Amino acid sequence: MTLGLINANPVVHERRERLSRADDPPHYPYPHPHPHSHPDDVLDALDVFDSVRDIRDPEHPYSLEQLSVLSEESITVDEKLGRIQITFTPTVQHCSMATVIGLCLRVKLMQCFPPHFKVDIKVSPGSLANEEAVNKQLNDKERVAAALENPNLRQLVDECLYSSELYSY
Amino acid sequence: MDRSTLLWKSTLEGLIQIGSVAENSIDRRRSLVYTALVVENLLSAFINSTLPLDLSLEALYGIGMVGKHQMEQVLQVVEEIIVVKLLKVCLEGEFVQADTLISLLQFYSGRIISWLSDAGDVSEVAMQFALHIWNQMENKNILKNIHVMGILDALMMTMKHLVSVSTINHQSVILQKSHEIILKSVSCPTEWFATEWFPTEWFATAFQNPELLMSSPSSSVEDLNLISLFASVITAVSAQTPLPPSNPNSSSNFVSNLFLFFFLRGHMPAAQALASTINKNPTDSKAIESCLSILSEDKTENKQFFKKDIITGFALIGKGLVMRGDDRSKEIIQFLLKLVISSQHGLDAALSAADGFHIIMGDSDGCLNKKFHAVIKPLYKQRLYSTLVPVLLKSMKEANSKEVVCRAFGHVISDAPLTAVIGEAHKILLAVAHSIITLSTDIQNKDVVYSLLLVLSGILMDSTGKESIIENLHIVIGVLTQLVSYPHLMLVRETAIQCITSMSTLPHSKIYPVKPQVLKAVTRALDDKRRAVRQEAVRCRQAWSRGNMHVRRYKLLGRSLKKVWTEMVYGSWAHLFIGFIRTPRVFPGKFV
Repeated sequence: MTLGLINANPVVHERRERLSRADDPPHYPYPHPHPHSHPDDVLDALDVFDSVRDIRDPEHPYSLEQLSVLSEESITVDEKLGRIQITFTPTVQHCSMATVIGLCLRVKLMQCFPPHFKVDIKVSPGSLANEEAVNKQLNDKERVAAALENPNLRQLVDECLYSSELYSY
Repeated sequence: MDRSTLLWKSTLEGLIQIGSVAENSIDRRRSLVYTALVVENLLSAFINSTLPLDLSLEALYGIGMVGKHQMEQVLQVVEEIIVVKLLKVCLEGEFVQADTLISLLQFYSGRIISWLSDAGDVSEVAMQFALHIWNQMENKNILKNIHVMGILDALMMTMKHLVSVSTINHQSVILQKSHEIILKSVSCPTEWFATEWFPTEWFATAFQNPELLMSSPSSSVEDLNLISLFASVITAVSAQTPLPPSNPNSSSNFVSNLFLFFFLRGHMPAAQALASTINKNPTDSKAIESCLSILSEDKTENKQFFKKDIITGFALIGKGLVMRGDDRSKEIIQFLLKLVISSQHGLDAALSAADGFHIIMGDSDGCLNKKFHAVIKPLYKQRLYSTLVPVLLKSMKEANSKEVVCRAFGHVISDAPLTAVIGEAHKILLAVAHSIITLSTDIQNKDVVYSLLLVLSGILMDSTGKESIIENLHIVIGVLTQLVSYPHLMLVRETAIQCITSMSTLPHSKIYPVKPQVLKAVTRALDDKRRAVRQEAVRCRQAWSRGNMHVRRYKLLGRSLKKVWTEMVYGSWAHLFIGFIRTPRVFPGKFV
């Protein structure tokens, strides 16, 4: 039984400036020169990062980006093969919230990307004591499904994902 | 925006602020110093082309907005540069400068003249420049090349703006000058049109035999360019300005006869000018009367007549009449409806007629609008809408070519005022859905499909409209889910998903049966090639999955704690969850 916060004094970083994509101006009613291909819209790491950067940490009212748990460089996307690989860094060596964070990531990516994408979530090498066990747990479909059936865990995950709708920092 | 552009914009903003302070201060010397230092330097930089064109135009406009005096200085310099470039392009053949000339013309008429006319009276200046342009048109070499690369279109729009901001007296002066040049330079016999005994029978025969019309008398490229420019003047004059010739002995139908002649040859600017004249001063032109009577009697069997240009021209004339509230518009409307419903003269003619409805009901920047002094009877669109819709609804079931009727219907519905459409939502909703489905097969209809979808979303936003949607929910959802994968236009897919998202707020008992269908369609859209569509699909999926449930935030019930203790089978998940419960929440005061 753990009492108290896992990490009582997290280091909080500045939020990086959100790059807005250079969207095309609306072409209507003029025809778009390339109706069937738009190279700028290919799925890339920034898309994935934009969908996960605002997930709240389970313990603190900061986002995973602000606590440097996630960064754009830690995400790899291969659109042709349909794979997303995310590596995150828990803030302390013995963080037992790592599994919750991984679960939140998985739920968010399941919601935001089509089902044929294979998502691999790992902790960054050397950042956690029981790294192998956590990696195995996070990528095991049955254990993830079982965890999501637990209503309390589900609620916790919902809070982490949707509490960003309550606040705007 | 990169750093240097940001810096440039901020500096310009600073200069504009300084200028407005200097202008508004009591001490006139400040304004003089500002003019000498800033305005004149910028103008000389512009003349010497040291800055790229778009930046220098933006800077000039910003500095000009400081005060009327500054804008007039900018105006003078821009006028001089326009004339220089015009001569370079048309006389010396430097066609690479054509784009610059077009940008300058658009900047001049669209921004400077508009700003000055809002700020005060610009009529004298506008008239002088218009006359200056007409003087250049006396040079045959300029006339020959002016239609190259879109210069004539830009020049026509500039002329329309200049005429529209002038007073009635100044407009008469411009008209007089242009009339003189037309009489002098146009090669076909213009005295033909001016005389009272103009052969209306000739017109009636020519109407039925376009070959006769095209063969004699012939007109050169210079003629057509001049007629286009004259047409732009006529399009923009006020209704009160007297049309040439001012000689009381000659016929006052010169202008309408001239443009009728060129319109029947397929010249679009002439058609616009003719429509504008009919709208503002419908004199009893016998030529026009005879054309309209031929239309209504349906004596025209000649296939050549039903070309796109002619039908479009008649639609413009019809628009001029409808806006005025004239009863003769009925003949043209009947003509167009017959073409659409029976399509006996070919699919192309029917499609042109369907697009004619778009011209009549829609708004255009080029002619027949408030800016160019059109005579507009209030609520003309609503009246036409209530006349046309029952006919089109009935013929959707009976017509030969359903696609054409749907296209006409789509144009009428999307161009009508939204309040009128929403008021009758229960009558037209099924027809709108049917039209969207029929039209979505062909890529040519993508604009109409998008407009109809916007109407559907407008009905959805309205409370009375929502009720009719709820009554026909399955059909509407069917249409929207089909449009989610519409391949031809991204905006259609995006808007369809947005509509579906907003429908998630409808009563749960109604939307529950269609939920699987919606989720299936939206999940497919997660894979769309465009990012905007993917993002909308994510939002839509979330809205429909979570449904009407409110996420209970921070509801940590005491009994759930016991439940967790008994669920030790989950091992490490429960282990840390216990730690989570025991810790005081750091989020500010959200205990429920």
